Amino acid sequence: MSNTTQALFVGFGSPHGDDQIGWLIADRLARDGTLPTSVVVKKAAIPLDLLDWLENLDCLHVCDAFQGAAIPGELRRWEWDVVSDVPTMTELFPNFMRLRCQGSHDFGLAAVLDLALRLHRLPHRIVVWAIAGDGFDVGNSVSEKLKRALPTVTNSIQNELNHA
Amino acid sequence: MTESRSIRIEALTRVEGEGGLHVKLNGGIIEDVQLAIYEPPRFFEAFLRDRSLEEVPDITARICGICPVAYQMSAVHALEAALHVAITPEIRRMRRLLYCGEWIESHALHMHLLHAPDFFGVDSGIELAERFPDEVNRGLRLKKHGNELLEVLGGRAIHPINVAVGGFYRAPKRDELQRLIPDFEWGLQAAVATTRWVATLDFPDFERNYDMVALSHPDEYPMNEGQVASTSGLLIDVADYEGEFAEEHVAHSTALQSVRTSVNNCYHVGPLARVNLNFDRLSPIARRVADEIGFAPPCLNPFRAIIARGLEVIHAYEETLGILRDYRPFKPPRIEYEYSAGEGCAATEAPRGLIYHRYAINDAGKITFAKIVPPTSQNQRQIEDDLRDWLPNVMRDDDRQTASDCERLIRSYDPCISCSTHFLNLTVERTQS
Repeated sequence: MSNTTQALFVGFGSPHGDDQIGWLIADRLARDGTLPTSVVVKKAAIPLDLLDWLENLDCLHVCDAFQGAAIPGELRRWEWDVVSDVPTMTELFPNFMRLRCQGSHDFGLAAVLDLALRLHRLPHRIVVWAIAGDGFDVGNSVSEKLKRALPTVTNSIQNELNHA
Repeated sequence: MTESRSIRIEALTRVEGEGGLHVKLNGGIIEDVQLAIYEPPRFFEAFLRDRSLEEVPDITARICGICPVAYQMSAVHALEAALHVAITPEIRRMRRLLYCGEWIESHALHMHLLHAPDFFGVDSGIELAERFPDEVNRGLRLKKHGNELLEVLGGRAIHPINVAVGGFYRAPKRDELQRLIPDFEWGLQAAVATTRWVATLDFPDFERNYDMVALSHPDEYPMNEGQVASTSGLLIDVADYEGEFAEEHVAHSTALQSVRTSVNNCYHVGPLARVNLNFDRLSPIARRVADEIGFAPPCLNPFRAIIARGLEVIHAYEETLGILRDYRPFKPPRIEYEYSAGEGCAATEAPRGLIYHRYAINDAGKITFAKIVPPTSQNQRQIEDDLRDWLPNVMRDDDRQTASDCERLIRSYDPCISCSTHFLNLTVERTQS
């Protein structure tokens, strides 16, 4: 496996309701075993973990649940090409900035990506996958709607990772 | 006539928790300062009742994502005291190693991304990174080392799962630890450079006559063991902690506040207290750097806690290297025990200060009582007390600037209260009688 051509997929989540979806997708991708060896799959709860994993990457895929005006299970995809003078994540997606900024020691995902940009640690390409959740109550299991959507959204992500 | 104004800061992202600050002024006189913690109580002590004692380290680790080791260490030592379990020197050394990992990751994060921005007039670690990319990159690499150590020893970096009552579920292999040595050799030099850097910051001229409290051990810098000492001369066994320190409820806070009952006063815990009380037990390089930068105990300026953190990071790297170089896998990784009814307590040193646990267990190995006193609840009243002194220096017509200066002082404590000040809503009530 090349040291310099890699894609990293990180599923973010927590044990609370549909916030688990990032972890579940990462589990399915890892279990399936058909991804190219150049693709690494990880799970994370804290966006700051990303900073430890960005070396020698060509492409970073991050995946998380979101709340908003969307049908539960709906998959959204954003792509961010990191070229010189690129706007920060916060400038590109001001609403996204609020998604995971509820922690304090814990920087939000957008904030971590901005920090990595300023520290010249980002790969050239960032892909953000977000899945609309139905409920995020503490300690709840994932909703039936997201359980049903899980194979489809995983396949969509897997198809792209197969060509990473 | 009463003039009341309020300011809401929507995203105070450099302290942990949610709460507010209420300042009451009568003319130019500060009548009251309340650090109001309104986040709901989390009931961990109640969750633990009727649970098997083996579950306690993993449940208490969930109290905090930044300092889970502190909760695990305090829990296992307290439970071992209740069970009369004596751990081996090898297990004890591994626990110190685990704590070194936590101190490194927690201090490196706070120093670079949470506290340092205050000294450069920027709002976040992200802005600081733009001005000081080398320093921030260095700090993040230190944090990564701490996390790696936690991962190797604890099974994972956040909420480790390898800590057990009696020891560890698994002892690491020699090569798992040895391969960390080159990174930690680099890290020791980087920690020295970081501490020299933070020593050059422009610190407010603000000192207080603190009663600082920390563990103290005759032979080592305190982490897992020692007596409870204070700069005012207190020296008691941990078993006597609750005779001297008590938590009190105040109406404006859902978090309890600790006081020293014998003097009915607040006190200060954390790295500054540890360094002041244990300076001569810091590692040789940490002491040498302290001399070089002119840091000598007692240091009574809370803003200089960032230097104390730097010295502790150096210490943690030096101690880690010593343990890694000598490490041989040990057996047994965990001391066996039998259930018997009893009670035990322990205090250890979390990155942000002394933490105390006490448990009672029954002869079926179930928890019948739990008491957990985290460092930040011990510092809360001290923070309010500090703010009373600090406010005359920073009180301006512009409440936003006043709030910012107050937050700066609060941040110097690295408060980790998932029950404090995430959204700091500063209300200034001005009354003229």
